[in-house]
Amino acid sequence: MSQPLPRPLLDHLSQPGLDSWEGYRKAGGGKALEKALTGSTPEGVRADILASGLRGRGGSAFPTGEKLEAVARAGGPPRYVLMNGEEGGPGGFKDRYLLEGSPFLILEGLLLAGFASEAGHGICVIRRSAPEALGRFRRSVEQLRAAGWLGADIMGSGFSFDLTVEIGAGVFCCGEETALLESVQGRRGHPHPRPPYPSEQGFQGCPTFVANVETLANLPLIVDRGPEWFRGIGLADEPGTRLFGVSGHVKVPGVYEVPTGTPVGDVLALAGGPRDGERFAAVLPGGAVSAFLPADALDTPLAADSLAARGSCLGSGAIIAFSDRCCFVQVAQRLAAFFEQESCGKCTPCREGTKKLREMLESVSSAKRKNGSEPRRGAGKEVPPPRPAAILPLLIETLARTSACGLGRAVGTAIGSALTLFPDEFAAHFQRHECPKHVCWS
Amino acid sequence: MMTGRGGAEVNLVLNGFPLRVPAGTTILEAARRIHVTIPRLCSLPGREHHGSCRVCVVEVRGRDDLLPACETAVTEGMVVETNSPVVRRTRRMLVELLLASHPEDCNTCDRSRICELRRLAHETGIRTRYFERGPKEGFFPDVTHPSIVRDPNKCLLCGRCVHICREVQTVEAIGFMGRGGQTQVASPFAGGLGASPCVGCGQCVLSCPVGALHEQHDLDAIWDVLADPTRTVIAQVAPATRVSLGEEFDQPPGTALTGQIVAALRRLGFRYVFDTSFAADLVALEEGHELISRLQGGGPLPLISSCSPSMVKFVEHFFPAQLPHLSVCKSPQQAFGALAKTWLAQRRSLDPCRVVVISIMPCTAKKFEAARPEMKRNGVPDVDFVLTNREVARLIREAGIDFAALPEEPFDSPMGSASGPGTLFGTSGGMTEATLETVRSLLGGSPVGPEEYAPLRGLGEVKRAAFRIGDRLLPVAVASGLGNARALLESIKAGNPEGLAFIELMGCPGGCVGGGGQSHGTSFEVRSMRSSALHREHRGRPIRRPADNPALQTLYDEFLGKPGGLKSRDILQTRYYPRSKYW
Amino acid sequence: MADQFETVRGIIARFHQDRNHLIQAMYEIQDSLGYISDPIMAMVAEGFGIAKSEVAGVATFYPHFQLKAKARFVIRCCSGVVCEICGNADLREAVRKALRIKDGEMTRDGMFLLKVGGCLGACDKAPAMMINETLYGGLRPEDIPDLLQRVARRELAGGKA
Repeated sequence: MSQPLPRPLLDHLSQPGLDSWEGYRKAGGGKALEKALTGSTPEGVRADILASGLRGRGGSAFPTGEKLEAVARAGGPPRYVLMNGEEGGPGGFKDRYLLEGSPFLILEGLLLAGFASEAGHGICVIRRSAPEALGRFRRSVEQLRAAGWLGADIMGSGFSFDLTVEIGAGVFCCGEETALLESVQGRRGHPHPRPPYPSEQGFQGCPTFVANVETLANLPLIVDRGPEWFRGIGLADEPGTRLFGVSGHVKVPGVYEVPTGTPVGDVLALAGGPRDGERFAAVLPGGAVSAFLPADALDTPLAADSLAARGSCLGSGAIIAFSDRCCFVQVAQRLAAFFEQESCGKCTPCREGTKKLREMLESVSSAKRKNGSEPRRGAGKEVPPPRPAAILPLLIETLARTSACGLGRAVGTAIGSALTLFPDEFAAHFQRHECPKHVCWS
Repeated sequence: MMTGRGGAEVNLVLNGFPLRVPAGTTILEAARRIHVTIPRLCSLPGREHHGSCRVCVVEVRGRDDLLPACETAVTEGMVVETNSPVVRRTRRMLVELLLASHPEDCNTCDRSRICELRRLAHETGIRTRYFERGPKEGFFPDVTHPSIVRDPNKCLLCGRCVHICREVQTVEAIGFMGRGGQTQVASPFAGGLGASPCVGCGQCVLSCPVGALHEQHDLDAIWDVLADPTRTVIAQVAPATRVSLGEEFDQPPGTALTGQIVAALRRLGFRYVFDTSFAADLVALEEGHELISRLQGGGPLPLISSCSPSMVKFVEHFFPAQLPHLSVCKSPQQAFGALAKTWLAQRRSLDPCRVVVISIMPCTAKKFEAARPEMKRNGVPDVDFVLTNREVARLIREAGIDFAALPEEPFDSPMGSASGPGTLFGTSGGMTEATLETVRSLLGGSPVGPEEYAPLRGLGEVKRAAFRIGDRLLPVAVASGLGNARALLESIKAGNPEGLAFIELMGCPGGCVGGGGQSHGTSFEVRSMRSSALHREHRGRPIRRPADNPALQTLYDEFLGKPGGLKSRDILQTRYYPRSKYW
Repeated sequence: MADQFETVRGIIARFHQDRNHLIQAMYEIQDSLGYISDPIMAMVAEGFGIAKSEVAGVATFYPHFQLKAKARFVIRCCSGVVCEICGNADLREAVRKALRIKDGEMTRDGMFLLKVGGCLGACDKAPAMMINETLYGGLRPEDIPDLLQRVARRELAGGKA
């Protein structure tokens, strides 16, 4: 690469002393909010963000400007801004990285979002299993308040904003925004049908702007440097850079920032490539809710459209690499076990379906065989029930089509794609009860 | 969504049929208009949609996912398929999934006759099974409540019981606990449901699609006492039972089968079969006296009738400060039991300890009431067993009695005659009618026609009326269903701004005709039909007022002395204790 | 016991019956008492003016709430797919072996409780586990006995893990 990669977020994070207010100001922070409060209007900020083409980084990739517009128009006050720091999916840790690295950047973004959506109150949800981030964030809020940037009439602009920090419950299903809203209102994290969207009826029935941490982190940069700068990076229809938490079988797991549209393989190369003596077999480009990309498709650009064309999705910036030593039946079984545990339990397909998914995959991979018992099927019945190989696709289809929320619909995606990518591996398990990679029943 | 229903109409095509419905109609309702019933599980009429079972999913053109018909409102130009291949195979898979963790004990299940899951399996065409049955683990039935048994192993987590308990009855004794596969509907109390504020109304039992909730069974013990020749087994039949028991034997709701029930019970081996309405007359008389004495300054007003045991427990848990408002008179069931073991035993020279009183009630809370320690005299309970309609139907079926072909037989005397208002105790408003008629007669007024009490009839939420009796205007209110009762109790708590003198509260919606011990499938229509049947019975009775019941006069002459007298206070009164709603 | 109830009452009073803060209040109670028992749940329900079934529903939904006996150290093993492919199973086995307990069980002395499940969001440090509020990443099975001993010893010395 001739030019250095634009990586505004990581560049920002690399500056020293970001965990104190003075340090953040010294690093150039706070300018965006000053600019907005003194020289612009909420409409102006919204226009900037709309012009920048920023899309939500949480997974749905909805244009942030439009969402802000919807909240501002939806009636109220009161209106709320809700920061979704409840990333709980496997591979999702880039938000934690941001929160630990530069809490003030997020807070500034939150204030900007509040200003732009004309909201008066912010709620920050940070998962409990990120205690470091939680502590830093809380201290930052205190410093910000001491500096007079929180409360009534900030900088004499007439804009009042305050926020509370809530401990997220750390459950995967609360990453879904309607479930998260239930959770911050002190209820069980069951999802709701949409519409009404949170931008119309969210926190306590009021319009609520729900945003991912990374989305908020981008706002100060856009307001400060202008939408044209942002549009200049990455793809035309979804510009900017994205943070990816790369984990799994790579040499250097960690957070990497690349412009949108960068091929998956390049990000994996940044993370040091495959471990010694291994090759990539497949990659989950968007965490556990996306579909596997085979090793020969690593040139696919990290963009919503091109990934969707391959049946996968961008998700929330979690790239998980799998080496050729993995048994994908076992991976599928572990995924199913995770989803079974993390299902909220509200709707039938997700609650019962994940259980059956796990049981079926388990019956052909490790656990049951270890105990020495043959997988039993249809013993002594007149008509033997169809074999797992036939039921599995139907079960995955049912999950995808009938689940109540987005997470339930995505449960089968990865497993289903593994089924199509590695038919031989699954067939060996299902029909011959053997593991080609000698991982199961080893 | 139900909201936003305006005058506007939208067009849609459902299974190829063009259709025009009001905006806001759900797909489920729209399908009903072309006589298509979409299979469903978690939705209840009048329930805000839950959308958890997903069985009702349909295909909407242009959507990749399937939408639940119960919570999706139709939009202009929608094209819906309710039986396309993809709908059929996913629906079947969903029911398969429900079946997979459901115990296969259909032969012995309480709901073996009418089970919605069985029906769903039939409707979705399941002949062979996809999955081996994988029973739930670590779930144990909760048998701690004297009225209700909850078996989480059979539960489908449709949430209908939770909805009823929360939104309709406002008791909130049960809720969803746990997460994912470990989710269950449970009571969060260390002592189980029995330690919870569960009032035992049994509405959850009525709403359960499967056998996960049912009443505590007493049938085996009853067969034992029926077979014991040293015991005198006495039955009392509640007014609401006689217009609904036929439903268990495929009669339409509201068929009055009093004679057949008496005949069936005699064939089962009951020595005497009496009418709880007789005790209802007695209670009306006693409560009428209490009301008059309270009106004359002898206690707090308004007087609240104490006939409904679930409501009594509700007040004990949630409104302990309002307990003095409750009438100290026992409910008709308990009054009957007390008299059977005193007056009747004396009259027929029976040993009270060898008399077994069995109540046939459309109620699960009566099981709790009969077990209350206050309802015992010298260690002998007033009522020994309570059978719900469902149980007594089982009893009749187990004995092989051809119920429909039975001749009509009359009740035994002396506790077998009742006035018209006495039979009305089974429906909301009837108890007030009987009490007010009594007050009128005690104050020397002449009887009035039933049309006078029209504002108290029907199954409305809270009914209010004022009656001129003598020189007084008595404002009364009638509420059924604990949510409505709560509203009235709140207003009493706030100082009774309406100046009410008498309140009738019933725990179940519609009164006993909607009781938790009624047959499954108790809907609003069914409740109305049962209620009208009781009103028909009321009109046919020659005795117009409780006080005119000749058997009652015999009772007072022979045994009790006078209403409100020493003996009736001893035998017919009870007391209440405040309970916590938290432990 | 009496001062426990005082603590709980104090925490509840700060939230002014605001249902939105139910989860926060319960976290604070758990942090000061170690776990949320049945009577405490009743107190929370009373303090917030909501039904106990609501409180219990919330408390059982979120895995971070500790409802039964309190172990001094709750070991949380991640079961996210990244940790799984990076050898989490061996790690769990090592914990089980070292403490002679199964998943979800507590050691007899009430020192350790092993919980498996959920993703800790530390996939860059896989395989990861958490002991109380401290995250340990990049562990190997052979580190486990040492780590557990270190944690336990610090507790005996009066320090915090």
